[in-house]
Amino acid sequence: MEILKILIPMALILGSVFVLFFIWAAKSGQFDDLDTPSKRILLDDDSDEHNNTHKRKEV
Amino acid sequence: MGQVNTLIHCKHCHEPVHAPFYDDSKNVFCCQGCLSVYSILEQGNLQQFYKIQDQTGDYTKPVSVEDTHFDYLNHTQFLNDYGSFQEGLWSMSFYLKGVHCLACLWLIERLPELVEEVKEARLNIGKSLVTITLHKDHDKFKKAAETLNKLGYPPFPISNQDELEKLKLKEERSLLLKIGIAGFSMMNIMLYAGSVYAGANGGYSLSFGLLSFILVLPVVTYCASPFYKSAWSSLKNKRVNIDIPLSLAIILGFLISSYFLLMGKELIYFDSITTLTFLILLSRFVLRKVQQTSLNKNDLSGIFQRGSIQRKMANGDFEHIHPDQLNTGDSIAILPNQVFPCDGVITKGATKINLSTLTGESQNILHEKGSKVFMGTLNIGSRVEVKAEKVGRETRLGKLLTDLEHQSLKESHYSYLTDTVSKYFVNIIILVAIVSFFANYSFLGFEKALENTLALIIVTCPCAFGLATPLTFSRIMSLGQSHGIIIKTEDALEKLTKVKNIIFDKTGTLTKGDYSVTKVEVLNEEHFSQFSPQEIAFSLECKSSHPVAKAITQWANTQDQWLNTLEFDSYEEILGFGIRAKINQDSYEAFSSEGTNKDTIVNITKNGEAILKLTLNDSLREEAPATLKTLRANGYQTYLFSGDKEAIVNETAALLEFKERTFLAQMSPEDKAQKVRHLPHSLFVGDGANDSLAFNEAMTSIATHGSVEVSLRVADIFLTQPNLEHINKALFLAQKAINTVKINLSFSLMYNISGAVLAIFGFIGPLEAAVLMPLSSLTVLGITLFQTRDNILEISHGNS
Repeated sequence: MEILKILIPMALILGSVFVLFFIWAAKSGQFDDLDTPSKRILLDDDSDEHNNTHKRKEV
Repeated sequence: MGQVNTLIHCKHCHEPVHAPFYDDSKNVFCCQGCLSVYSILEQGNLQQFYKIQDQTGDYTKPVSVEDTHFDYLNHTQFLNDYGSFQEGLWSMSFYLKGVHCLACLWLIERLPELVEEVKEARLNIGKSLVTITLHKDHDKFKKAAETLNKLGYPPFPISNQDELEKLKLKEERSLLLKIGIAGFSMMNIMLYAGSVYAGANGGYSLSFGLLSFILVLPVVTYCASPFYKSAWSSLKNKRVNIDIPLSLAIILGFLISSYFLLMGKELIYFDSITTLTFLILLSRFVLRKVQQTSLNKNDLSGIFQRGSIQRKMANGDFEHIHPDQLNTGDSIAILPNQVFPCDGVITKGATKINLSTLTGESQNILHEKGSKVFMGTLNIGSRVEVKAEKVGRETRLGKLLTDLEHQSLKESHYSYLTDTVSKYFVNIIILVAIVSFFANYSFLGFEKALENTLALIIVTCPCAFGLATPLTFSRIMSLGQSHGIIIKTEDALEKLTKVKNIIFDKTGTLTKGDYSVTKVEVLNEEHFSQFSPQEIAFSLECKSSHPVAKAITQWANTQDQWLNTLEFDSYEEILGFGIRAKINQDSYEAFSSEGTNKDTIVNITKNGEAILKLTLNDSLREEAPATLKTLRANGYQTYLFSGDKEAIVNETAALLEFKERTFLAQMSPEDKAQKVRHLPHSLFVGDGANDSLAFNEAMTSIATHGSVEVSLRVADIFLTQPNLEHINKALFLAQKAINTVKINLSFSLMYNISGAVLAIFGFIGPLEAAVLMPLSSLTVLGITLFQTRDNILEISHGNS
């Protein structure tokens, strides 16, 4: 059970790093808009592909 | 042409087309707006928009291009007030009207492809806010705004100085932080608590206890601080709310557990405290989100929706400015169909003004030079020049809004179910805890007494109120939202269940509130050989923005989808009279007059001879009789309070079977408020700012029309579509919500009583408490989710 002396601090440090990331993300406003990104992700690839093919046709 | 008069849909908005517009490739559109959007998209290679629409099945609305100017966006002063400058780039936020789907998002974020100065456009679809960033060395937003307007999303700039918004955002972020930190602590503490319960002892037990202590510190000091604040403020107001027992459980739990930790005992409740904090913070966050999205989505931001106005400059020319730039003493020009942006005096011209938003008068009143005009009223007639005397909060409308805001802050004399229950609950727990402590103390000693009392407080902690109640309300509110019923606060739900008397406004609530053509009399057939009555009426009225003219053009459009219009040589709209137009040698006139009681009659003459007579009036909503019947069958008393003339009200009341003495006519807004005050348990259903006083006096209120800002601010509930059947649905949802809360309360009361008994006699240790607490939470969550499942409205509808 000696391993716990390493594992527990490691778990806490790792956890704290994630908490710090979370604090940074929340403070920089990444959670302000919860609706749009979920929709935006559906669009980008699709339309880029469309634009590219279109441009190629023009060339 | 007969065979094509159905199923022609606009290429842009998919609405059925009445009077078609064509582009060069013979595509059909319902209006010029849709046509121009289509051509913009075509030129920009952005037709993907229609593909996305087809995929989602969610079509855009017909385009209404607002006639507004964005010159002011290029003024330096305006830029400083509204724009923000970061890393060498200017950006500005706009509220957009008409954003509603995935395709809108796609199109708006393609703005850089349409306007070269624009670097980036980011849309927040929940709030309908777009933030536009320009390329380096550009600071002109005019073109971007004009393009958005042409695309059918009229933009309204948002000031970057809005402190209230910033404060709200900050609060939301900090709530999120608290949830995250509480979650982190909870998970880690549970790990340690779990091992202690499983039998870890000696050194491990002590170090786990110390670790838990460190992790619990931010939870009790930071994460739980909203509970303390709300508990403290309610104590100061000599009221009791749910946050008092919560704070008590958290603080006492923490203190006593720390004491046991110091004593080297294994009686530690840190895990329970953090779980409690985390879950309750989370459920409140969800409730808040539901409220916000419903309010944002439904044009409650109407206050932003103000177009540009023309201000006279020193040299006599006019410039377009934003209403916020208006100062006392400025001279401005107000065009027909524009809303007055200030209180002032007419200095040039005369016009008819629709005062209905402010006073409830349905007739338009003639205002001449020297007459006073008020902010928020609508100019119906012709262009006038006005000298601004009062702006913003100083105006009559501004004062009304301020008053209403103050009144709604006033403490309500209504006591809510959850408050009442928690009041007794808190008092009883505190009493029992004290008694049990001293009883245990005298028989078993100090430590045992502390131990049992702590178990008592933790076990009886009102999880069900704290957790299930906000969850129930947020579920019910989002259910309502999906049916077009926007419930602004959870209090409104509880008040709805107490309603006994329902009072209706007439114009715009039980009736459609608009003119519609009900009778057509052709007086002389031979004049209609070349053009049909519809075509002549349409040609005459189509340029006017008067409500009567709009009703006539709409009627003509629905009667005949392929209207030919007459091209007049001269055309003149005469204030308070009608329209006079000439073509070749023939002169046409269309003038309106009042009919016998409530009708408006429009006579159309050709060279002085009457050829057509149209009768217009305000018709009842189709669903009104059925809705009233259901309400009466369910035991509600119905009343009709109207500002309209007696004869009209009597007729409506007879049609809708209102009983003697339950309907009143010719009531001023103050009369309505006065009468409503004397009706207990009242629900007022109305529209327009003139109902807002009555809204405020009634126990609760429903605004049936999503357009008039003032009434929306005051009403507890509003409907996105003016459909009266929604009133029944709202009442049903409210009943459901309160029933669910009651079931949860009785369950947790039962649970708490048995838990308390066991705890007092020392049968419950930390392990049992740690198991029982989440178990009870899960049970109430299960009950809540079952009670508020998605299809409850459909089920109720099927039965009735």
